[in-house]
Amino acid sequence: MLSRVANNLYWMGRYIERAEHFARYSKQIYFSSLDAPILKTYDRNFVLESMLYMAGIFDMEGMEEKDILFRIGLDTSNTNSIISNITFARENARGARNVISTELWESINKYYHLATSYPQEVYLTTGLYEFNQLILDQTSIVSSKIYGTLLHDGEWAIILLGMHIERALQIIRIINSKLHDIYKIEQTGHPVNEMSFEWTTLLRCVESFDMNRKFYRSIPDREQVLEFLMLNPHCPRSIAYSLNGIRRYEAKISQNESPQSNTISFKIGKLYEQYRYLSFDEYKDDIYGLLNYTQDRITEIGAELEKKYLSF
Amino acid sequence: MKQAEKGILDSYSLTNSHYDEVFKETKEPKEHYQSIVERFNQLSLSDYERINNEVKTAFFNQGITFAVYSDDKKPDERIFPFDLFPRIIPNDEWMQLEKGVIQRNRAINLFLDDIYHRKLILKDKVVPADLIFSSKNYLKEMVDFTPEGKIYTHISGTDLIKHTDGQYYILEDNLRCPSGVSYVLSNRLALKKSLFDLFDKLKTKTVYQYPEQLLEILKTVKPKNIDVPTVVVVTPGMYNSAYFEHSFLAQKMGVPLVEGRDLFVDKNFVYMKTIHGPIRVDVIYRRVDDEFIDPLVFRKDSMLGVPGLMNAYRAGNVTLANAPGTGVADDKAVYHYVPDIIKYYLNEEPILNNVKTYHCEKESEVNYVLENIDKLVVKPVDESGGYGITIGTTLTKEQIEEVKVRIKSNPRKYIAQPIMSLSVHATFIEETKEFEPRHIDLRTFCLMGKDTEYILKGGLTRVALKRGNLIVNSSQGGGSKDTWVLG
Amino acid sequence: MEEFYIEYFIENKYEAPVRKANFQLLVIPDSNSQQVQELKFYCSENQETLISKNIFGFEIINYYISNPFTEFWFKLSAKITKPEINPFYISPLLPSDEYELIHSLDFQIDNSLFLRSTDLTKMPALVNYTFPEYNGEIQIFEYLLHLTSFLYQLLEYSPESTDVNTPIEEVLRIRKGVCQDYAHLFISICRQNKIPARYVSGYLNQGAGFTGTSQLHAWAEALIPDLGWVGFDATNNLVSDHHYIKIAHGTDYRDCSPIIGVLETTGAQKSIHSVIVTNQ
Repeated sequence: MLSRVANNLYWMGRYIERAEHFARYSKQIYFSSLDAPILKTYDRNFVLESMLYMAGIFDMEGMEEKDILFRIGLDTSNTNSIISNITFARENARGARNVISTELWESINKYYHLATSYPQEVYLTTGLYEFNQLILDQTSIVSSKIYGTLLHDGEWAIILLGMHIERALQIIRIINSKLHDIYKIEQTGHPVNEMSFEWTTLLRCVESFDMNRKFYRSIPDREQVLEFLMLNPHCPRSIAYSLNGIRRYEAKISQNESPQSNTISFKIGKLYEQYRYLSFDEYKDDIYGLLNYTQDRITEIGAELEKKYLSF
Repeated sequence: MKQAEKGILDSYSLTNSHYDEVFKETKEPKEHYQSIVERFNQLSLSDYERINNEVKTAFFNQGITFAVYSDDKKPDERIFPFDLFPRIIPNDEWMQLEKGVIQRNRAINLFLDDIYHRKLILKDKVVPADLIFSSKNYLKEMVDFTPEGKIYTHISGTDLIKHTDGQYYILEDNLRCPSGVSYVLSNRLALKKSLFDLFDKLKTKTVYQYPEQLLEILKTVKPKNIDVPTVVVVTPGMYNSAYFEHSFLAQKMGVPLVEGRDLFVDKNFVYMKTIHGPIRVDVIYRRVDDEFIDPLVFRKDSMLGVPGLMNAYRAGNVTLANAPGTGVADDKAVYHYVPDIIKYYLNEEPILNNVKTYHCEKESEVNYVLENIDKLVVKPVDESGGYGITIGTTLTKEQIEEVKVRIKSNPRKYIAQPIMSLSVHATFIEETKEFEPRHIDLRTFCLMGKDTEYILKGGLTRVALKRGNLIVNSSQGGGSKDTWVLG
Repeated sequence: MEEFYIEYFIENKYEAPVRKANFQLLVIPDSNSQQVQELKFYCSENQETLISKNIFGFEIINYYISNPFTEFWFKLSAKITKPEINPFYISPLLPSDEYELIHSLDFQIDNSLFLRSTDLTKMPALVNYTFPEYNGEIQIFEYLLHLTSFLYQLLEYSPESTDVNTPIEEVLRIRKGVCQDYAHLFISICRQNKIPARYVSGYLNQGAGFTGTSQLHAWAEALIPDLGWVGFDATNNLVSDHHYIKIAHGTDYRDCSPIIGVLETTGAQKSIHSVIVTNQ
């Protein structure tokens, strides 16, 4: 596989995954706030701030709600907008056009055309939900083409490697973002034990509410939600699960059975094993510390992967 | 499907002045078009429009598009217009055409070998030496170098038209990086999906072997001492207007699509950079023009090329298809001599007609050209894509004067030809929702390898969508049709 | 026999790191024109090298460097020997026979590469000077001697007045130039008069009081029927002899650049060249 093509596939995977997390987060945060039981969450600025935080924008000075929604969703001049992510995903797919299946290419191309032709005035009035849902639905189609129409070889593995690295990083971002919201609510003196609505929103932001319900069979609280989203190896939207994916797909590329200590495989394996044998109690007072540590390791691994396989 | 009361082709009106491919003067369809016309007349306008839209959507989703860039807006993506009504060529007519195209390309290949080695045709004064040596496409890097198998033009795209007399004429020889074959295959697929029952009525030759034939041809010219060659397609990148075709061909041949930056030359061997290290490359189907392929030799500012590629090529360690320097033979000034070139090397009479060509550099001819610009097509000799062409009948007095000044300032650069009357073909026009006659030409695709030749049975019928327009190139707003050679 | 010791050195320093580079060096003395006895060369990157032939058969040294660097130097030393040459030629042909020969189609076709105009040897449409014209009344050699001294007088040798891409039009405007300008102009006039001519790069003995010895030198060769290629140096108003150590010839400077590089870098570069030629 050409290094440039690997680079295209890897980033295609990352942008597809990133667009989906952005869309899901925006949708959940915005719509759950409409009838939230906690007064603070009703506050529209609070919600918009949270959405911007996720999109990496920290200054909302002078922006109206419409401006913010536009900037997050359809603004092509914002490289972090949903539409930019989709555009980048499609450009990368185009660069690797001849190694991906026709079916996968057409699904991405169609996704791109549907999203970019979505009318701005509709998005800003009645289409916010529909637009974000379109992103989620199209992502599902694309994912199924990735699993179902590509030979499960190195090229396939590099797409999934990109997706799982992005997923791990986005889950960390989402947890961070939501912890940040909850901290702000707690600062207003709201009782800590009446926060289940916020924890539920966090679960929904990563589409894990039903899974969590099934696993714990009780009302979500801080400990339960964080343990689930960080450590549960069977929840496909947890950090532990994503790390397992990173480990598995990297191994398929490096074909390295017993990695030496300075290799990327070794570093991935080490982080994965750390998570496997981590108990939540050890870290419950330093969640930010653990999240930052994990984020740094994954970023480091990503940089090394790019250097080793993707530079040309 | 219900029978339409009025056939969608009923409103078609003949033009008197041009050869109509589909209809006789009595407005009855010609024999080989009968069943197709019947089938199309069974469609209602709304059926037709529905199918037409489906095909357009399918092309769009497949990314068979080109981008039109405008300031500060996102690029506007458009499909190349495709007309559902196929162009049909009877078998006997095709066989003659095929023989003629192969004959022509064989002779041109021998011509290239000669002018880069012994130059006998020049010494024998069949082709003027000055014409060759003054061409910027005559590359000194190719002098006395023999490409593998003595093949220069592995892929050529000969353009033909049919004149009022019903005869085919060669319009031009495209010997550098002719494009369009991906549309032939995509058009066929689209037609099969949307009007599948047409294929029961007429047996048409398949076009699908093209990619495998191309791969086989490329393998016949592999460097010496290589058993199984690594073949790649080199593209200028995804912003090139033919990128769809480059990736299409690479995918269908099952070979890597690479860019110049994916390759490097070390000690005269070419390698591609893969995630597991360098892999040697043996045969390159390059879709990058000569002047960009090696910044050490040609344009230094080229970001598309591979430094050292020409050295590796000249050392015999890699094959380039087409060979560099073939452009000297598809120069429009050389075109005029191709019938003589055929006679000289093959000792055969040319099967296909050439259009009468006036050379502005010849004093005996330039005066005729200057006095008759209003009746001639004037073409620059070294441009492709329809650029710089003027058609006499469409010019104002001022424009005629401008053309005269241009010719006088650089006569070597221009040739002139009588305005050939391209044949017309019924084509659906979206604005009027009717079938109207439109001018068409035909691009053929001919492959040449070591001791082997292949010609795609069919080709790209290009159609000028603007009424009366004679330029069919896609860059000038042309569309295309599927082309059926009957079995 | 004369013995010469040659040292060629080039050093390039780059503002920004170079990620990758291809270099081609055309500095090895041509072994057809002299005997090359000791040849050594090195570069800063300790690279394995490949010597290949360029399109005119001259040896080029190729480097492909894929590790980042900010400095590149190259050094060549050689000992060469050359018989003494007395550059006094007499063609056995009559002027009219020479004239007829060079105007024959076969001769012109066989030498077409050295009769074709190139970017750097292109004569402007309007020229303020009347250059000597070859009309077959005198022998070609004599004509070329005349042309050599004509150009020697026309231009003023002035280092750094032009660069390697300066067109003839500009040289004629300022009437100044360096060795490659004399050579290009000489070649251009020869080709206009249907005499095949080529550009030559090489080393020039520094001990003999010539102009243009501190760098690589350039002169021209013209093809005289029955004599072969003869070198003319308009910079020094001389016919080339054993002091002229040829590296390569080509259609113009661009076929003979001592170093060509294609680099991946963002910044500017500074170059130092030096040439030392000594005669024992």
